[in-house]
Amino acid sequence: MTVETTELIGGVFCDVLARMAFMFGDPTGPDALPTPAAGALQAVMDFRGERCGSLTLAAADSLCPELAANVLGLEPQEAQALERSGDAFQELLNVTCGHVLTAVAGEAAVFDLDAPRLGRIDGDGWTALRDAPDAVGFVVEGHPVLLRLHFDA
Amino acid sequence: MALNILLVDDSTTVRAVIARSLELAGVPVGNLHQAANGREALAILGREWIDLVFADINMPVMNGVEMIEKMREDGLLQTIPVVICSTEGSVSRIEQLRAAGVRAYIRKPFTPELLRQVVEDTVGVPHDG
Repeated sequence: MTVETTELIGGVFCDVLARMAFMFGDPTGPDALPTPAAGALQAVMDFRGERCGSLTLAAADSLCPELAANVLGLEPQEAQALERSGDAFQELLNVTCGHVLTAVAGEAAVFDLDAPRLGRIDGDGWTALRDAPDAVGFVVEGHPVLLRLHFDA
Repeated sequence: MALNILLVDDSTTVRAVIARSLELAGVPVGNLHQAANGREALAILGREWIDLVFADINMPVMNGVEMIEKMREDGLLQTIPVVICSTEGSVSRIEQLRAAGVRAYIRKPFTPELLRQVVEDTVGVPHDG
């Protein structure tokens, strides 16, 4: 992935995050991000069209209730924010994916998107994602976040 | 007059966000119904009076396009305005949706103000008080 594409994806993610959750992302080299001690949430979304591939989003657990609370207009401690943290995280990926594909491929391109798959990754999973050559890193409200756009060969 | 609205999205978060945005935008809502996919939505449409539908495209079981096609086969349901609320950015797909009878398209993320404008443009609105 070129530097221009990396910057484009980073800009799209930060814009979606700000408009959807009123949170601010600071693009950061993936190597500079700490590995979340308590593990991380990961959502993956496959797409098919003129190019096929996947978009992966991973973030420290601690970010997700804050994200859900901001999206829903709740306090992070409220039960609904905790219950919906995974769903809100998946929706952030879903919206980001739609905008990233338009930014990369243009408005004429047509893609079919699969539903996001949610899971957990441990330290090794985080390291593997962080070290992928096409991973982009962010610090969001103090929490480490990784985003990876991968095109199939 | 309050509107009976049906929200169709597999994400409970999105349904909650639309519901809250309608409230923040001052759109008078009567009964707010929710469905996680097109099939659930058709079941609700078959038994409830609905004035306006907000639907996603990508959903499991039955997606938004399939749901709209089913609505167009029904003399009564085809009169209910559908607004698509999705991440879709493809111009040709949005044109296809409009050709299929979709009244408006909102790209996520959206603001309460945009939601209100779309409601006004689609069904004319109803102001509280």
